[in-house]
Amino acid sequence: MSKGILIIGYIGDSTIRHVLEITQAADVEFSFLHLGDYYSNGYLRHSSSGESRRTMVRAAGVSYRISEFSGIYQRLLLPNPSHVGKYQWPKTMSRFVGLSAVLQSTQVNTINRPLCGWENMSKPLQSYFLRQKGFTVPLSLTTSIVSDYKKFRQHGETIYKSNSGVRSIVDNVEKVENERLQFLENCPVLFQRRIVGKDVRIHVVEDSVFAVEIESDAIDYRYYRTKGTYSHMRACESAPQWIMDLCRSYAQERGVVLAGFDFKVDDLGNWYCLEMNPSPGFESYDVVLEGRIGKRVLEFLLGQSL
Amino acid sequence: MSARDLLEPSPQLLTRTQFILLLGSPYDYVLLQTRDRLISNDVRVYLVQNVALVNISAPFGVDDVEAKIVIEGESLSIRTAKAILVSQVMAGTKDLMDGSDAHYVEQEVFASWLALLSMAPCRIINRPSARVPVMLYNSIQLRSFARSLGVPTVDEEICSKRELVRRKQRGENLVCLDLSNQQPFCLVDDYRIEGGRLYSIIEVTCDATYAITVRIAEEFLSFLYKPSQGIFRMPDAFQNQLKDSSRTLLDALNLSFAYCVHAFQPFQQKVPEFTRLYTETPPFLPMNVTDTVVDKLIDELKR
Repeated sequence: MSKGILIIGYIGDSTIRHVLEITQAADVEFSFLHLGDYYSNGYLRHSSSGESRRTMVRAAGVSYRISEFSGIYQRLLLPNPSHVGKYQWPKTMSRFVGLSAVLQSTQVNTINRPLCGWENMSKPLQSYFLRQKGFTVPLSLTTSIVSDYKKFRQHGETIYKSNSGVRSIVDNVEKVENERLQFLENCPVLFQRRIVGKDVRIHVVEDSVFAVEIESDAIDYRYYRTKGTYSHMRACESAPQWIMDLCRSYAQERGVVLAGFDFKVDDLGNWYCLEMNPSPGFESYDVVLEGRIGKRVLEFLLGQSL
Repeated sequence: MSARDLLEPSPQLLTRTQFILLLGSPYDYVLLQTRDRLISNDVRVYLVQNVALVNISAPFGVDDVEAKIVIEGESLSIRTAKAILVSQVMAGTKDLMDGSDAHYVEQEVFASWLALLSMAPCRIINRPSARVPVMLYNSIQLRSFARSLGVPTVDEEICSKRELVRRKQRGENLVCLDLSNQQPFCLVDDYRIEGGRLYSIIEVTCDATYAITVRIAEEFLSFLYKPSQGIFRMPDAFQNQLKDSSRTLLDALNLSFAYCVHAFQPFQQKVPEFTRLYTETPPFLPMNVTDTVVDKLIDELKR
């Protein structure tokens, strides 16, 4: 008898809160494993020979038998080491490694398995894979060499962002060049030719595709409150079928059930793929689409239509 | 052709402007030997432990900037790299960073090298795989991956201190792993078992015999190793079996240079079971095998 869905994450994570809300609203049975509790006082048992029948996670006095769930939605994050006491860190790390191993090998439908879409932790590497797949990607340079940066910079408007999966605020280099260039040799930075145009976010849930377009005066629309003045989202009806097919196909190849693709579309109608996020925060786009993304997420996790 | 013949300079294969890059520990005896013998053969070779100390450019679709690295002020175009051997990529940060900066920089450096090593047009031994993030896998994930491929693999159990102590009291002499730091230890030894941490009990006794296979490109060396007793010849009956299962696993991981360790029960007629994998030189590698590995590695790098 299935116990419904197991949701794993932090209650302070707005995506987790959204998934909890839509699950409740759909009257779907669920359990919530709060990572804060698990890291501070939880443990797990798991046997490779007994498969998931013998996998049990415990936190805050509650036991969760993994195989009893029809699906798992997880946003397994390791806290920043600087936010955890020195004595607590080895415990936290061991619990993270253990749970990660369990989620990696479970037979239960999971969004998403740890390390699916791992290439997102290197954006230039992901750009390489995306281009191999057939997407158009912006010209870019990862460098810690000042002279190379200057060469790249002279050919057009340039933005900067993190190379890794660490979230960064994307912005124009002009604003920080004088102040920050001297530090470039300490840490490579990903520079990209700026594409001017609207943003489009495409979510893939298994075989379904959902597109939302965003108009904003900020380079990084997520931070329009501090870096711009407005950001408007609406359902995107103009996404070409071949782009949606490529997104679906790429996500499937990478083993990612729920993926968030970021695009810039220039004035000539060229679609530039910026990245595929394998752990997308999809709540604001789901609101725009009146819950269609969330519904498909729940359907996948339950293994049935709602 | 003897191994020594392989060390003769072969200018038609490796020109003076080309270089070989070895990424790994300077305490790795195989890497050190490889570097020293390449140098003695007039080959430009660089052994880099910490890639955070090497400046890097990895352009993508850009015409006038080429992929390069700068080692101690010397700029090296990746175009002139003959080969790169990836034993280990360590992105330790510079001393001047504070804690949170250091963590960020480590990830940025690692991400940029991952891209460079994946895209570089030269021959790369252990090029990061497009499919499987082997450089990110810990040993549990490797065993899980091996199982998913159908490779015979040791069973293991993740548990807390309580279960570990219970099995220790039963006198079980098993190999364990501290999941907080990936440190292996023997259950009967004095390793400090901390409450609150998770551990993995690997169903291999600490005095087990191990079947080791070393892959260097298409060559597979194999031998038996028993701690405290040394190495033995691998029985012929198991040679091909081990080679096949090692090849299956290493092909899937895109590793052409690695050491596969299998637990081996010679009297139980049991198939050797995959236990762990090294891309750096394991501490038990005997000297005569080391020499053979270095010979074959040099051959591969100069090819």
